[in-house]
Formats: sequence, C-alpha cells, structure tokens
Amino acid sequence: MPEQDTDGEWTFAAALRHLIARLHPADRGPYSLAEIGDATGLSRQYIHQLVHGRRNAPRYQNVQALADFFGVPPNYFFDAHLAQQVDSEIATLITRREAATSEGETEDYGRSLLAQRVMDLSPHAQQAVSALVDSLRDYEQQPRTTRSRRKPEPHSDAT
Amino acid sequence: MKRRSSHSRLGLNCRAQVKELLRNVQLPNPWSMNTFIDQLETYRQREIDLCAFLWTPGSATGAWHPYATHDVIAYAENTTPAHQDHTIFHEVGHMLAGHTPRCVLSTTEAEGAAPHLRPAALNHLLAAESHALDEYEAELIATILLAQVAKIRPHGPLQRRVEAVFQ
Amino acid sequence: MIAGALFYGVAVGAALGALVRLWRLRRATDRQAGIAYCLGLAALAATFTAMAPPTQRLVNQLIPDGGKVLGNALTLTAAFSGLVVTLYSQWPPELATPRVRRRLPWLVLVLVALITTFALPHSTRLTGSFDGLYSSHPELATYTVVYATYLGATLISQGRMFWIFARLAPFFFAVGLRLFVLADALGVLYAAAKLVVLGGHLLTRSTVTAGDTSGVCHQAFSSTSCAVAVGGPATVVIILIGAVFFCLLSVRLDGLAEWISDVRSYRRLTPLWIVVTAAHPEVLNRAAAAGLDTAAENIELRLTKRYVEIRDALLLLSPYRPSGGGDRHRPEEEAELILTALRAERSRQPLPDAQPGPVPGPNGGIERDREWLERVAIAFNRIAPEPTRTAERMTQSAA
Repeated sequence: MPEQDTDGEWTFAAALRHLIARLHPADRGPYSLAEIGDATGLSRQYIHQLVHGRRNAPRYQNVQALADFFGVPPNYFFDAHLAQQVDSEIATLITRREAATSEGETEDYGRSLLAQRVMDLSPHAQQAVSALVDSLRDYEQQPRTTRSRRKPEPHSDAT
Repeated sequence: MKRRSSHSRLGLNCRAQVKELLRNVQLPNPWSMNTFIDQLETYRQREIDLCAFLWTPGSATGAWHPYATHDVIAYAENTTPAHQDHTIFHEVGHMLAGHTPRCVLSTTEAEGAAPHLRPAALNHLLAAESHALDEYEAELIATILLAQVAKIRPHGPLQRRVEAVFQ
Repeated sequence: MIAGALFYGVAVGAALGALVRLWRLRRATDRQAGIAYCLGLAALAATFTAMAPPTQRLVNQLIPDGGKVLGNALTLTAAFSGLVVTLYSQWPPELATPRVRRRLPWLVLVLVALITTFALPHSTRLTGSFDGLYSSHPELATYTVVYATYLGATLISQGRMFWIFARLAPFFFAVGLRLFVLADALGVLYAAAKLVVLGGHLLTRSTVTAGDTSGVCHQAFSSTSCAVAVGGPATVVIILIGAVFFCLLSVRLDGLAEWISDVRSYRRLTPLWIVVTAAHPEVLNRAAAAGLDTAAENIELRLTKRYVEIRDALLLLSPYRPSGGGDRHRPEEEAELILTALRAERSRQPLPDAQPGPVPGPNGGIERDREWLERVAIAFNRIAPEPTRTAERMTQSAA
C-alpha cells in the first residue's frame, strides 16, 4: 500500500519515494538518484528535492520524464486511485517474478522463461514484453513429431 | 546463479567453455548447423528444436526457451544463414553457460496483468543486473564459435587425417 | 666445421620438433599417428647427428669405417619412419598398424644384412667407398645392393604419399612436403646410380689396391662416382633441411598468411561498419556494457564481431530498405539500397507498413557472406565517402 505522507495526504514526493523503492530489478536495490538523473536528464539535486517534498509543483515535462523512465502513467503521481491500481499491478508482477525463478515453478510460469538476444543492453530496452513469446507459443502448439525442427537446407547456390 | 568475480576472467571462461564443447562436439565439415545441433542434442541428452520467426522492428533477434524435456531456439528468418548461425550459437552459449532465463510476457499477457504499466516498468521489474553479463558471455561464446566455423575448409577424410597428424 | 654445425643444427631442430609433438600428444585425437610423427622426427634427428662429420670421425675411431654403416643404417630407419608417418596419415590406426607390421621385418632383415656383410672379415682395409672392391668382395656388393634397393623402394613409396598429401595441404606445409618429395626423388636417383656404378665395376672387374687413391673423393662433384657418393647426398641434405624447416614452421607461416587475410578483410569492412553502426550504435553496446576491452582480442574474433555488428545493423535498417531486389544483385546495387535506407531512417520517415523482406546476402557460409559484405563495403565507400568521413570523425570524437 503506498505510504502516505505525515499529514495523510497523497503527495508527489510520497508517490515518487514509493515508486523508487518498489520498481527495480530483483537482484539489486532501488535505482539511485544519480542513476535516475542520468536516465531522465534531470539533475540529482532536483530529484533529491522532489523526493523530499521540497518542490511540490514540478514542471510537467519533468513529471513526464520520470513517468517515462519508470514506465508508469504520469497521473500516477497525482491520482491516488490510479496509484493503487498501478501498485497492485507491480505486486502481481513481483509475485510472478518470484514464482518463476524459485524452485518448483509451475508450468504456467515456466512457459514464459526466455533468454533473448537483444540489441540494446540498457535496462529500459530489455524486452520483458516481447512478441517472441507469441511466436514461440504458436510454434509449441504444433505437434513435436511433425513440426520443422531444423533450419531449411540452403538452396543450391554456386559455392 | 554463478558468481563471476571479474570481467577479465569472463573472456578466459568463455574460451574454456568453447574448448570444452568442441572437445565433445566437433564442428561438422562441411559446415551444417543442423548437423551441429544434432550432435549437440546427443551430447546434452536433450532435444533442441529450431524455430524460425519473422523479425520485426523492436523485437529481439533470437531466444532460447527451455521446456521440461526439450529446448527451443528461435532465430530470425529474415537474415542471412551465417547471421542466423550466430544467433543460434548465442542461445547455445546461454545454454552452455547455464544462464537463468528470465520471465518474459507476451503483449497480451502484459495487457492483462498490468494494463497501466508500460514496457519500461516491466523491464525494470523483470530484468536483472546480471543479464548484461550473461548477454556478453553468450555473445562472446557465439563469436568464438562463429570464428571457428569461418576457418572450416571443406575437405575429404584423407585431408582431415593429414591435418590431424601434422597439425 | 660449418658442415658439422649445419648437421647438428638440423638434428637439434628435428629433436625439438619431436619434443613439441610429444607434448602435444596429450591432447591428440589420434595417438598412434602422433607417436609415428614423433618417432619420424626423432629418427631424422638421429640420422643427421650420425651423418655429421665430427660424429663420423668419432665413430670411425671406435670402429674402423663404422661411421658408414651407422649412417646407412640410420638413413634406412629414417626413410622407413617417413613411410610409417604416411601410413598413419593415410589410414586409421587400426588399418595402419598391420601395414606397418608387415613392412617392419624387411627393415630388420636389411639392417641385419648390412651389419653382417660389414662385420665379415675383409681382405682389404675399408675406406668408406666400396667402389672397386665389388669384384673381390661379394659381401660388399651384397651390402650395396641391399642398401640401395631398400632405400630406393622405401623412398618411392614415401615420396608418392607426400606428393598426394602436398596437394591437400595448406601452402607452406605443401612447400615442405614437396621438398621432401624432391629429396626422395634425388635419393632414388642416388640409389639407382649406386647400383649402376656397382654393375659397372662388376662388369669391368676393376679392383683397387692399397694406396690407390682413385677411389677417394676430394671434391663433391669431381667425378661421376664422386657426385653420386658425396655431391648427391650433400644436395639431398640441404633440401631435407629446407623440407623440415617448412614443415615444422608451416603452422606459423600458414597462420601468418591467414592473419594477413583477416586484417585485410577487417580493413575492407570498416567504411560500411562505421556508417551502419553510427546509425544503430546499440549493436555495439554489448562489450561496452560489460566494461570489456575487445581491442585486445585476436583478429579473427574482431573480424567476426565486426561482421556480426554489420549484419545486426543491416537487420535493424531493413524496414527502411526500398522493396524489391532479390538476393543475387550486385554489390553496387546493395550499397545504393543501404544508402537509401540510411537516408530514409535519418529523415525520420515513418516506418513503411509492409513487413521487412529478407535481408539480401549469399546463401553460403560466413566466408561467402563476409566476402559479399567486403565488396558491398568497397562499393559503398565509392558512392558515399563523405558520410564515411563524417561518421569516422563522430566515432573518433565519441571514443
């Protein structure tokens, strides 16, 4: 449940703190302010002020930049109801992630474990959502005994 | 999950893994990826299926998906055969190095589970720091293997024996 | 002095080669063939050691004229071991070993015959050259016939196989093998000439008495028999030195030739690589993200990496390619298409709706694809030198 500020109000700062705390890869801690600054183009000091509530009305393009980096809708920071929905979705994904990597995973989660060859290694281009899942599912629908399991033989080219 | 203490050892590690592989699974001469995969199946005692897919902008160029009893390697059909071979080697690299594949959702699943989250959020949640290192390792293994394939000169059994004796 | 140094030098070289081969045996897939190669090199080393003039003098002091029989025996052993190496190369070990076993008794028989005929008491003092003694000493005639026949036959078998191998071997190794064939051919001529000289002496019933210096050679080629006895073998020795040199160094020399070819390919691909990776720098991120310096890698790896990066970038570029053009068009057309696609991408044109078509390229393996890309790169550099220079400046300033 997103924390609320001392006076019980849902503030931008609280929302941002909550997001930083929750939305990060499993094998590391939250993104540091410097990292967020590098990715969004905002200065570290500015983000520090935002996090500690010293700027209550940030400019819209800065809000947009933060929302783009985290992948949440910009209104997440202002709409408590939307924030709640987003938070429960994050929780769903975290559960799914833990189930997928723990021992004794179920077939459901096992179905979507891939190692992909992605071009861009930066975190935001990691392809956690991929069209390849659909291609592989379609392929898996075909019976193993009859589907093509190898590359097609090359045409007779003048070698 | 394997722990790697330094980047510089990664290169040596990859070379050692490729050497170990080639001791047990020889590169076929003349080169054929299908034959190589057949031999790899025998070595690992697990079947491998190659699945061609159409690469579209924004998509990854290849994937490895382990199932309970077999592995599937997907490669892009709209590129040259040698490039496809590299992709397949990349996924074989993931397999050999024992990397943990990670949770990936299809667009429909993502819409269903998290309609308000954009791909960047899922990338943050489902990615891991070690993935960059895993990617590098698999890519280096693939490049080493492809470099070996490039050196294959097709020749008959006598030439192979002569080379084995004298080189 | 020089001759001695030369002989010993080659012997040491061959011995070192044998040791290196022995060390490599640990990893060899075919142990018997590896052992045969080791022994062949060792036999060559022993022969050269024995034939060196200082060794000959030493042995002659211990056993009168013993240097000759030692030299001859080791020459025959070396020739036989060369044949064994060819057999283990030609056949898998289970088929080669019986063939070697069949031939081994002949070598033993011949060596026994040589030693026996030599050790029998002779009425004249031997001086190394048996010419002139054949009529009076039939055992020496036997010695020479047995030696020459066995040497000739073995060298013919061995030389034939080396010739066949040479056609299959990489360049520098083939040079070494062909020198062996030349040495073998001269050796066969030598053996044949020896028989002819022997026949001549028997027919004319010439004899040599003590004090007759006509049978002693002062210069290698001063007479026919001298050419056969001294000049010929000397030539063969020099050729053998060359043959061993090329064979042992061939791996290095052929490796060097491949290295040069790889460097050339790497340079040829650079203009195309610079431009397409400048348009799609993410294909380069892999090493950078892991903080690894790939400049230290060897050229084969760097060349393969460059090839993959070009293909990755071309794939990312493929949605912007004008449709049409199969995979058999010329490199110049391909360069034009790439340039058009780059311009379309740079001007941020919307992605065409049609699905990307197949990326053109040859159907063969990586060698063909790389050669194709080299030709495309050359054509590309011709039509778009300005973007290349701009991109080069951009890359250099970013580095």
